[in-house]
Amino acid sequence: MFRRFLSLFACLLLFPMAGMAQDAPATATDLAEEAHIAPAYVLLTLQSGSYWLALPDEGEVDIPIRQTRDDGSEEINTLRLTPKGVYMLSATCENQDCVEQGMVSIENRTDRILGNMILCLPNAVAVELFTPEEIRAMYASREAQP
Amino acid sequence: MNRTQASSTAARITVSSMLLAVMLVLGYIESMLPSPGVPGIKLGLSNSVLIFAVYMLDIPTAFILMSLKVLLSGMMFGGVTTIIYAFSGGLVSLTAMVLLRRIPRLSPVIVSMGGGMFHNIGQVAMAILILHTPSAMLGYLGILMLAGLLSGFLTGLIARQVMKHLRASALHPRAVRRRGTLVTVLAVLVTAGTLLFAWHSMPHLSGNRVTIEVMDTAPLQDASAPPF
Repeated sequence: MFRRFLSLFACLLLFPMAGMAQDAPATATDLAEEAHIAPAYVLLTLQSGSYWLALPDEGEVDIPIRQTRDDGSEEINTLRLTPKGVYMLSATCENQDCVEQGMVSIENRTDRILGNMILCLPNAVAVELFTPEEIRAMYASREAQP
Repeated sequence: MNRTQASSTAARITVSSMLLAVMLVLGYIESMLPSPGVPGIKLGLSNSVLIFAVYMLDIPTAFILMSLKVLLSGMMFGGVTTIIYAFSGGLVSLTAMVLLRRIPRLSPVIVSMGGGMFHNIGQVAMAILILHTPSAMLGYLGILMLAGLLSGFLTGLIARQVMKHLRASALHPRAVRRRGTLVTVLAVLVTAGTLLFAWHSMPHLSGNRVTIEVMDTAPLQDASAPPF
């Protein structure tokens, strides 16, 4: 009885591994899939929810975040994504803390006081930088969204 | 100055407003110091005045001082955000200090360190409420609590020295110390008023609708699924 369970377990364990072994020689489509994974991703958290932004492979991308109030006044934070990391280019907030917090890159994340975060408290904008490995672990460990 | 004069309402008002002025000046000096660009980490010099108030004056006065300092300082040098964060921190911190003060033979320095730590706990709680990023903020809380302990130690030392030298002086404010229902009612009113003002001025809290657009070249990817 126990032995049967063991063999069943071994089968379960071996099947995916065998599948992986067969897939190992990379096909053209796999390489294309791999190329889509950016070096790091930015998790942008706003009042409306959280969004993923991929760091560009080359060049710079500016992401304006516009928040408009009922009375028509608005606050704009501009996030700049570069292949190395992300920083707040400009913000219409009162203290400019987020601009002064500088760039978060894959290298300096552990050295910064704020870690992988850029925070704009007045405009309620939170920016975090994650590597693909961390994101995989994040979604594997819990089903709920971050 | 004799005792009857000192315990009069006028003396109480004088001492409180003097302390408020000292707190505002300390806050102004602090706002001129270079900021590390990291929210939450600062010296909090006016905390030493609050320690002084908790030890030498009554608790309602300490709450009035804290609320008015946060309100006036925020209006003069900061902004709405400063008010809401400083107020949430100040409320938690002052409550913690008032409670710690009741433990016998606890040094004012320790009380101040506890206050500094709880100040940052209060601020992080408010940040979680506003920013909706609990996991990231909790990781940051450790550093903030350490910073709070350190600045609390410094302000506690200052307060202890001031109280030591003032004990023998005629300006010793214990003469002003008096329990009054009026002061308590006033303290509750001022604290609640500050809370209401700060809450109402934060567009994200007060229920004002805020429309958000993120302009990305690619369609936005919601974080309910991994980006790849």
